[in-house]
Amino acid sequence: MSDGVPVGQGSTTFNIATDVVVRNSVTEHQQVVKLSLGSENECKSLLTSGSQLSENSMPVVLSSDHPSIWLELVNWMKSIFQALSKPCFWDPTLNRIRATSTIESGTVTTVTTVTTVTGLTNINSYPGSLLVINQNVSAWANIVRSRIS
Amino acid sequence: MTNNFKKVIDRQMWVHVAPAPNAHAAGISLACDLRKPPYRHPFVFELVSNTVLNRYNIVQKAWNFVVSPALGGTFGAGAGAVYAPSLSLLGAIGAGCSTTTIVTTTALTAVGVNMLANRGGSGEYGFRIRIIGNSAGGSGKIEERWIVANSASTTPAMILDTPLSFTPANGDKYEVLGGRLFMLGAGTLAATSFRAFEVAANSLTSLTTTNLPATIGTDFSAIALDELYVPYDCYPGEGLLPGSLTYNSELRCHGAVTTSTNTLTGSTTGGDLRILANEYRNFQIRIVEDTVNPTAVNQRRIISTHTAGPSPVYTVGTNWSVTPSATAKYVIENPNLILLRSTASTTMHVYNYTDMNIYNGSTTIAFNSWHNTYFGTAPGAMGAGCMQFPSYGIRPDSAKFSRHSYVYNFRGGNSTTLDVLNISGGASGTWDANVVYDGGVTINTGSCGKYAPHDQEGRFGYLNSYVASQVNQIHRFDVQNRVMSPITPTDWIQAGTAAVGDRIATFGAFDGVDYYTVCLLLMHASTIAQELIVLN
Repeated sequence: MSDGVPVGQGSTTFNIATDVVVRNSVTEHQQVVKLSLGSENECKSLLTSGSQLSENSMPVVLSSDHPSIWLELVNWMKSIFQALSKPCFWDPTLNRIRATSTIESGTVTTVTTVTTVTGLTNINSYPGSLLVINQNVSAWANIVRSRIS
Repeated sequence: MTNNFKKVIDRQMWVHVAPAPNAHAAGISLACDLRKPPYRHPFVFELVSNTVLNRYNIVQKAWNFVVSPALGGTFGAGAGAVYAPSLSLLGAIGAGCSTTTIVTTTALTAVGVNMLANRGGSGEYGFRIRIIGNSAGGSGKIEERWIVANSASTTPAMILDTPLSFTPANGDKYEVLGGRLFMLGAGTLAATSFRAFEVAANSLTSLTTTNLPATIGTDFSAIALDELYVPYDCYPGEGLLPGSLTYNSELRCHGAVTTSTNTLTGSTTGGDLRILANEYRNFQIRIVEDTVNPTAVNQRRIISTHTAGPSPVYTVGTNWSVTPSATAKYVIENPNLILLRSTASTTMHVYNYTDMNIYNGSTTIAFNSWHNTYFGTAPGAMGAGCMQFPSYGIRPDSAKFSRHSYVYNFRGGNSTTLDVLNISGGASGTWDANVVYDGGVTINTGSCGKYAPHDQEGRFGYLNSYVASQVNQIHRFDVQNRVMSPITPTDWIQAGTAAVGDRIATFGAFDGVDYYTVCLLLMHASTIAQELIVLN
């Protein structure tokens, strides 16, 4: 069985293009349908093999109510850039990094200002508070004790 | 040594001492012996909880745990402690004494060898002992010595540093002048809410709670009007008025002229020469020597009324058990009572810690009893931060605008209000409400204060008017001149949510020439402790 099915209108006949295939063990004609797009009185064939001009290509577009990927992409990119430029540990009011840090080991070369040291446990095995206490005791010895002589 | 402190030019300062074992929290209290050195017990006590009592060695500047006081109730606001040096360890003397060896017969908590010969401060003094020759046929004398050795026993033999002028007789009495720490718990009253720790033999005793509030709270303020607490210019045992006679070789006293079953008439000379009528009502008269009627010695009586000097006639509330002779010697002293303000009330709770019932001519307080109307109710309720300053340490001015009988009560509760109890103002005292004084300071929650009779003519009580994070929190109140003024602040800034507690103690130091007040302050909500030697 050859492809095509002849159809006629009066004495004139022509073929409806088909392709003979076996489907479910039955040999049948499957109609060849050629897609085209076009406005009124216009037809642009789309089924030319290979890469074609746009007028010969099937347009793929989003539906008109689909959210704009571009807008999301822009916002996403904006967030990335903001995060990079002002990370969460950045204090915008003080314009400096805000962090609670622990120096596991190493050397601190320069400390410009320390506002409050809540606890200073040891200095070379001596309690850190002795820094203050011994200064206080020395001052007391000079200022007070020396007056009782 | 000499105090070379130049006023205005030099400055005082607080100095760190070893931190306390336990941080301040609500109800934690410091208590101290207010006798002058070397008589005062050399420890400040820190009542921390129902199970923790610490002490601070004022000589060595160090702390240690003492004992669990095993207080009842729920510890917190309202708890506190007060120290009283008299009538803590009493006993009878047996046969076989010498002038330096005392044989005792009253069973005590067992003491170790020579334990009474070192109070634990710096080791140079043992406990002071008063030997009372008041047995029939006794010497009729009272003398005091330091204990330099003792045997290990419940009835220890005690060795004295210098010989007595008499040999104690069988049946005489003794009193170890160590003292007791009286401790009050908080919360719902329990049988063990009020206890005493005796510091010589280290014994704990539960005392009565009858007439105390059913639930102890708010804050604690207590003072001891102890017979051994005296003016700055007197020694313990001399009372409040230095007399022209002596007993115990050196202690000043007064001489009787005539006596009756309930009176004693003083002489035309001596320290009670210029007293006003009833100036010392509700104080104690104690017979310190009577070689004619020895059994009259050591009688203590509350003065119900007396006439003005010279030759004041003292009428005692309770008749003499043995009428003193006309040559008896006596002293006028504080009445051995604890005055307690507690639990947001107007009541002045009065505790009799002597060994006998007292009667002032209108009201009796049995020994080991609280009385709520012995002195009248205060004009206002006490609040958190309240404090009391007695004024037995001063020498009253000649016009008697200031008196030993005045007890200054700062109400607390975020007020500046000061009420004054005059314990001699009537049979039950009188109150002056909201008196005028200079330099009012708001007494907030967390405030505390302690009287210091040691120096500065016994004029000052030192207080911490607590305000979180404020630099200037330290003040002192002049009980002679009714002036409050700021003094040297601590360099460590006290802070934290206000919690009540009696965090300040005072004690005396002696450099061989001068006496000094030392303040010990336990910082608010902290273990940090600092001392201030008051130099001006």
